[in-house]
Amino acid sequence: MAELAIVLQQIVAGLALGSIYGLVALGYNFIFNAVGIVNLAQGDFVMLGGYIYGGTLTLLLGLPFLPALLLTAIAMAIFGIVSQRIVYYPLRDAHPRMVMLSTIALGIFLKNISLIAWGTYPVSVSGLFGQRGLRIAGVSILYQYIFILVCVIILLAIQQYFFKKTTLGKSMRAVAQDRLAAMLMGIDAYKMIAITFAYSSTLAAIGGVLLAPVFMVSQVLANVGLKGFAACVIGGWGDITGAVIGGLVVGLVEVFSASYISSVYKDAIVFAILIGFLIFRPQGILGRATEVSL
Amino acid sequence: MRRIVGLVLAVALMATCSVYAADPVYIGAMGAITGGSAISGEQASQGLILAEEDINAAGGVLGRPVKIIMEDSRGLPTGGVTAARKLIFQDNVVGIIGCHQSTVVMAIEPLIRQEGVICMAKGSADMITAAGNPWIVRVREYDTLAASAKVRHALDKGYTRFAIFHNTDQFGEGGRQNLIDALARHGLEPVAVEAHNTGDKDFTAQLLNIRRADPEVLIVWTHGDEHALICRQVAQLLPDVQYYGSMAITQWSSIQMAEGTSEGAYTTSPYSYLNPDPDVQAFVKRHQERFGRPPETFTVLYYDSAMMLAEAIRRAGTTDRAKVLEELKKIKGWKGVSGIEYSFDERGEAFNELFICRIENQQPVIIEKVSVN
Amino acid sequence: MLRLEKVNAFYGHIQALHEVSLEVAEGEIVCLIGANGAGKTTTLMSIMGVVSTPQGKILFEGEDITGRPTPSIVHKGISCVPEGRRIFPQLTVMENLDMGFYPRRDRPAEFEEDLERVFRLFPVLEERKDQLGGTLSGGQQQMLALARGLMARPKLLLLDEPSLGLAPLLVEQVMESIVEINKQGTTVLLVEQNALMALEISHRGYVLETGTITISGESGKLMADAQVRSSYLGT
Repeated sequence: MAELAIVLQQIVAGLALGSIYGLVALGYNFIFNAVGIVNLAQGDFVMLGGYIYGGTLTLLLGLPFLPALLLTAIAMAIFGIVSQRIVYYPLRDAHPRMVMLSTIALGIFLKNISLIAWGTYPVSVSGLFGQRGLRIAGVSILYQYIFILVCVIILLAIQQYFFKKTTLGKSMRAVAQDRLAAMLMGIDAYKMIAITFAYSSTLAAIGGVLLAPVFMVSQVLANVGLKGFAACVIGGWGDITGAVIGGLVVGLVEVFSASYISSVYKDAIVFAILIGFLIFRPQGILGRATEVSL
Repeated sequence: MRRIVGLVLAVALMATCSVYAADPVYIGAMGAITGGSAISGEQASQGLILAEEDINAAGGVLGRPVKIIMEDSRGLPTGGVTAARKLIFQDNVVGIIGCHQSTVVMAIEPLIRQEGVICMAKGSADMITAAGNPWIVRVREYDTLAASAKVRHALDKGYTRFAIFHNTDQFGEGGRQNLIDALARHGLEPVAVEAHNTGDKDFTAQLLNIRRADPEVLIVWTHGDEHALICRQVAQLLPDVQYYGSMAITQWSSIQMAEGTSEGAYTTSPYSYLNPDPDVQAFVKRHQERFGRPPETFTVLYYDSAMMLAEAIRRAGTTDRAKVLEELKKIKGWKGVSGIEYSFDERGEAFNELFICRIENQQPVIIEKVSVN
Repeated sequence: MLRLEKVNAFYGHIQALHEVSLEVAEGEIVCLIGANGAGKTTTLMSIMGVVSTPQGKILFEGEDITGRPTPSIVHKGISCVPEGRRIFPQLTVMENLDMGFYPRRDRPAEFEEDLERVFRLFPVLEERKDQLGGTLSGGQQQMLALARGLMARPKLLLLDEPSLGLAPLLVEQVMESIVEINKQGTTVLLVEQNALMALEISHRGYVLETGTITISGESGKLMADAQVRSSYLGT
């Protein structure tokens, strides 16, 4: 019985972590679907969102949760448009690899800027639920984790609907697949790309807001970007459901490999699996998506 | 004519020398200002700012002002070596205070030995003084001291089933070994030993493995950021286990980050800002006014080190490093703003006493002071 | 309807068009023929505002559209079916058509009507409407590209090499549908390497050689022209 509770707790922990990675993966996929590039600063966007929400709006200005969330989302949307203008637009006709390099530079810049702006102390905020949680049959779940999972499912549904059903979403996909053809359809490709960056930055902002109460906000938070990246590869690039499934897989692998193989090398195990996928199954678990050119 | 020119030149040279003589005496320091343990570097810097003010307010040393130069080790051995080279070869410092990480101290140890520079280490690993480098002294509790104090305290409370959860860096690995040794001296073995990396955020897997072993006591040996998150997750997963933390959990910032989950935890610490000692409280008040928060352990340890080094320079009457070191090692019963009385022994250890603290109402309350002997 | 006046076009520093002037009247099929690299595609891309045209004028329905951004030209009523079809491979047939409808997205009520129209022209698209564009055969992709262009209900349709890479039977089918589209009221500017086919279905034609218009006239006359015959019709 005790053993069962422990295994259940492991599964809960894996799913909780996994939904966080899935959330980050959704942000990656959004830009990938729209521009065909991987924004390697996505993790740093999450960190920045966390800092704006936790460090500035909550701790400094004392705003309650909802206004803080809203303002963070708006600030990050604007930031997304600005960074698109600086990082993507000048390189729009270059190889996607060049854009990815410039996103790496943006990530480094953001880490350093946040160090200057918010200092070295991790920012700790309680969010809506603090450290409160459920306890059922020896398994404990933080409310915050349930909240994250619910948010991820809602965002997944919204994103799925958005890309499949709305004209805006479809035209974003069209721009990603063939920018010239999309422009010949009358689509203002650069406006679409700006919207794409704005939305994916907003997703990152939500990620930062949701993560702040469980992981605190520090420069290390940007590392969730790597796990989100792994989730995208495992789930298949561009596949929205795949991203969330990939996230859950990464979360479960991390928890179980830490329990039964090595807690010290759990990240190495995740990345070994990532490399395995890149070599043997680059289209991801679901196998529907196209390959990303890196 | 030539003679006169020579005389003028000589006078000019002497004048230049005396200008140099009025130049400050440089004291070096290092800590992680950026990188994963960047908090510690910031805490240390604040102590050094106050120390420099106090030393100079008291007239400096040897009639010269003191300038403390803090370099960033980035918490990495390579960063530490770069910082140490800069302090030694460019700034020509009398001594280096820090680093606060054992790994970094061990990385600069050969350079310290080769160049003959005083190093007032802040890492707690035993190997720092065990390396037999005469230039290294330590102003911090060392791991054997902390480990045996914790084990003894837990045994006194009647606990016998110990689990250990440690960081994989040199600090954590050293702590694990010291705990196992301390338990062995009482004929015990830990029921579970688990590890984590610096920067990890989720510890569920390890804590569940520990839960399987059903311990009464969990001794965690790690740094501030990880400690706060481990406290939170232990409260969820191991609510009935008595928590013993590293010194880091007494830190004001760490208690805030733990959001109440470190309540009731014990630890050993060289310092608590709640120490009613008037010297400690005067310093706490001053720091609070200046920086908006109470001083942390590294703040007071770096401060005390700078004050003792300045005193040693005064007593030596020179900046000659060998003579200063000799005077430094003669310091006995020096009362620091940490609340500890420092007395350097033949190994270079300044600590022979330590506090047992308990987190009560979000504050590190001193339960008792324990001594080595 | 469309008039180009002495248009010069450049790719970087390389001049691709030299004072090209041509005219398309409402209701016509006009073809532009020429060898590979003669500047046919460049002419279309200049009209669409993709290639920069620092000199010369492009007029559409009397309005100067030179240098306008591509989307605004599309919204004026010119659609282009680009060379190589360039359908969206990861969108379904329906989604591709939906993208074609983009300039008229503020009139969703007309979508069904237009859809029926293109499905009547290309029944195979209806059968495959949920299939991804990239999985269609070459001929089906060409039909999809045409249909997508028509969904905008353009006044003027620019077609770039619609017969390229298609089997002869399919070429004929595509040409027939172009005639049909024209009959339904769409003006067509057709760029083709397959000069015979193009001249057969068009009213008038222009011959482009290294960025310059060399011969123009009614298609029937061009087919009889000795130079055209020897250079482009291989007889």
